[in-house]
Parts: sequence; structure tokens; C-alpha cells
Amino acid sequence: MSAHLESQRLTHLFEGADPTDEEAEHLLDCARCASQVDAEGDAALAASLRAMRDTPTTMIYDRGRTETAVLAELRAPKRRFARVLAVVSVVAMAASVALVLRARQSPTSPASHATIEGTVGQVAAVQAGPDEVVALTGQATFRVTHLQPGQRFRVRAGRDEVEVRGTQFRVDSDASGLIAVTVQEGRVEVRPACCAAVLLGPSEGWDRERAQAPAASATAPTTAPEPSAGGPGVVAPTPATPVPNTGAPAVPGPTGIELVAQGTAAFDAGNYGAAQVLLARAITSEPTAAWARDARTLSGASQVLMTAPDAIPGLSVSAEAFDAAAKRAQRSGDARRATMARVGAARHVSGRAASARWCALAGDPSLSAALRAEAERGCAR
Amino acid sequence: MRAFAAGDPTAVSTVYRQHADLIARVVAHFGAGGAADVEDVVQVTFLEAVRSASRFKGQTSLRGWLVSIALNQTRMHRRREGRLRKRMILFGAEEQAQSAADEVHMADEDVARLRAALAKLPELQREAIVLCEIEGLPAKEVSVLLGAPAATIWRRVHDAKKSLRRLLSTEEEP
Repeated sequence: MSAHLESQRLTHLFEGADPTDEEAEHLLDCARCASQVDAEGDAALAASLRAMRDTPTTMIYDRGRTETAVLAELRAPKRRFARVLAVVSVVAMAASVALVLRARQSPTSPASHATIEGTVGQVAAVQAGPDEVVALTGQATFRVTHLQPGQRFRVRAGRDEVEVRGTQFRVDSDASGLIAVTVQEGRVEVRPACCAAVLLGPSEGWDRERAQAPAASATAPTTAPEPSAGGPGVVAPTPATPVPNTGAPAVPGPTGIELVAQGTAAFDAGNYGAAQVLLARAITSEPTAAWARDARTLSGASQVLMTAPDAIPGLSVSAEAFDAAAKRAQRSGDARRATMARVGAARHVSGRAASARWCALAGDPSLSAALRAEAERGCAR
Repeated sequence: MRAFAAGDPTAVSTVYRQHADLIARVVAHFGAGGAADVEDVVQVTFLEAVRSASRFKGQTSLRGWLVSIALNQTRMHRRREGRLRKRMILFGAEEQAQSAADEVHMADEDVARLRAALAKLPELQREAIVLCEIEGLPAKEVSVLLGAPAATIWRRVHDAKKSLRRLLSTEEEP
């Protein structure tokens, strides 16, 4: 460092004179001279600024994870093919977004026997003709035109199936199958893979959770008589909401926290449409609940992913929301929720940090086998 | 440096461990965003450094050279992020994402206030004060890094301090 500046020169500088390059260089490096030129309060400000240097970097980033990611990237072979694949994926994603949007805009697509409304998720034609089958992931209301003898209309959700008998009904589903079916008009036969088939009449509903409950699974008919009869050996359908004159006992719907659990499961399975619907229902039911903020985060992320998956060149803003949720869960001692938030964060980092996050999760024994497999795939990318 | 340029893991790790915290702080102070953004930019900075190591002729210190790469990468990241944010607003996810991002950085109130004030500074002033005052890099090095004479850097730092004092005092008023 050069010699200290003379006091007379320091006075001039304090009074507003411009320093030469040499003087400026000295003032920037010499705290003693700078303190005589700085305005009142600058010393305290400089101390606060220097203190920022001591802010723990754990608050800023994950050092080890980033190092692992840098080294992994350097080890990875140059992948022109991967880049081509990425372009193809983006095009495919854009096409699927367009399909979803078209499904929303066009009430009759893709079924010919039914008008489809309120689709959140995706409806795809599986089989056309008189025996018509559509596949649903998410939620939709079907209004089916009168079917002629020999005509059928079925909705598949995973391994589950709903067959219409000329009616209007609503179906909620996720990757594992049906979540709920509600009939507005006519009759519908629900054939879940898990349990007995059930025939639903107007204003009646079927709910997976209750159908799988021990009391319900004890009865196992393959066909059901009129639902209102509810005789022995018949799986009683649950009334839809609102419940007009079915005579069946009112069964409360899932609680907010149960809806959050279902929504989280749907999100984990990549069913962002169903997740968004379930989480929105949970938030509406208990908007001030402690979990509502996390539910909003997850719901918002579901909405973004559902609307434009990967079309956005990076979702790190969402990842921040998940990181924050993970920190909150960690603070409250909820390890499972913290892990799930970390999974969410890994899914939302589109850049190079993603593989490092997946690698960190790959060995987490608290993750389900499916999520661990996803983590391993993400880690290997 | 030859081993670093060849991507030798030991050499890269050594350089990374020496400088990663500084780079992460600089990236965070330059307003890259939350943790995921900082990690991304730090990662890209080191990868870019390995790729262009053969062009490093020692005009500045290795630290200064890494900071200059980080500066460029942060600027690029912020441009991308700006575009992304516009899209996020369209999806209605901005507010919650922003509040969560804020929470990440709100652990220390004083640091958070200072960080918020720093974010409001013009870019040239912010770069100068971060490198000179927060990170304490020598004036000569900052001068090379920012491509401006020392007197200009000093003026930027001086003006930045004045702006920070004003911003912080305005905030304290009821």
C-alpha cells in the first residue's frame, strides 16, 4: 500500500475534491485515510458492510452440493444427443400443453358420446366407436348423450374404470386411479380395481378412501342393486355434495389435512391437475390452517407445472418456495414434510443444480421406492 | 492451473474450496436471487472457468478472474430471471414464490435491510461497493475487474455509501 495521504489533502478530499487515481486506490485500500474522508455515519456503514462478509454462506447456498454438481458435470461426457432429446422434449411438452389447453377449450374433445367440462388435467381418447373409452388424469365432468343399445362409454383412471349408463357425472383421479366419482344425473357403475363395483344414482358419490376403509371392504359385491337399497353385501355409495333426498346417511368429506395428503400424493405422482384441485379444496376448507401456506405453495407450483411444464426455461423461483417450505418443516421437526419439500425443490430446479439435489435425495430411506427411483434418474442425468 | 484447465477433479476441488464462498457471496450480493439461483450461477461460474482456463494469462489474480466470470454469469442470469418472473406473474405464482424467497434471506434482519438497500443501488455502484467494501478486494484488482480507473471506482463507492445511508435512514423514519 502506498504512503498515507497528507492531512491537508485529506481535508480537501473531505470537502469534495476529486482524488487522483493513485489517491483513490489508496483511499479504497486504507481504512485509516478513508475514515477521514468519509461522511459521518460511513464508518458504521462500512462496518455493517464488512459484517456481511461474515454472513454464514449456508444461508446463501449449499457449498457441498454445488461442488458435487460441478465435478459431476465435468465428469459427464458431452451429450449432443441429450441436447437433441431436450429439444424434442420441449416440443413434446409444448404439444402436450396445447392438447391440455385444447381439451379445456373444446368441451366435446376427445369423446364423441360425451360433453366434457371443467377439465383440470388431461382427457385422452383410448378407444372410439360404439364402445368408447377415454382415459382421465385429473378431474372432469362428463355429460353423456343418450346411448343406443350396444353403445358404451367408459372413463379409465389408472386401473379403475367408470361406466356410464346415460348420465352426467364428475370424476377425480390421480395416477393410482380414481379418487372420487359424483353423479349429477342418471346412473354410473364404478369399477375400482381395489374393491367392489358400485352402482351410483343421482346425487350419489363414491370415494376411494371410504371404499377402502375396513367396514366397506368387508363387503364385496360385483354388481350392485339400486344404491338407495343399501342391503347386505352392497357397497353403499356415499352421497354427493349437496345431498338431495337420497335417504343415505350423510358422510363427512375428507378433512382439509386429508385433502392436503391426497394433493401431495398426487403431486408426487406427477398429477399436477389432481394435486391442484385437491389442494385448492383443502385451502378453501380451512384457509387459516397452519398447513395452508404450504398447500398454497404446492398448489401454485402444480398450477405452473400443469400449465407449462418445462416450457419455462427454469423454475428456480418455485424452487425457492420449496426450499423455504423445507426449512419451515425442518424447524418444526417434520422430517417427512421437509424431505417432500426437498423433492419438490429438486423438481423445480431446471438448471445444473437439479442433478445435485436429486443425488442428495437418492439415498434417503424415507422416500418411497418410486421417488427414490426418480431421484436416481435425476442424479444420473 | 494446467490441471484445473484439464478438469482434474482434485485441482477443481481445490480452487472451488478456496473461492466458492466468495463467489457465492458476490453472486448473492449482485442479486442473483435465492439459493437455487446462487447455486446455479456458482456452478456455471466454475464450469466456465474450467472451460476458459487456457485463456487465463494471469492479468488479475485467480480470485479476480473468477469474480469477473461470476459477474458476467450473474448479469446473464438476471436477464433470464427477469423474463421468467414476467411469466411467473402470468401464472399467479409470483407472490408466493417471492415471499418464500424473501424468507430464505430474512434470517438476520440487519443483513436483510442492508441487502434490500443494496438491491436498490444502480448496478455500477453496487458492483463497486460489493467488491471493495463487502469483499475487501484490493482497489487495483477491482479496477481491472470493472474496467474503470481507481478514481471512478472510488466515486462509485462514495456515491453508493451516500445512497445507502439515505435508503437506510428513510426506512427507519416512521
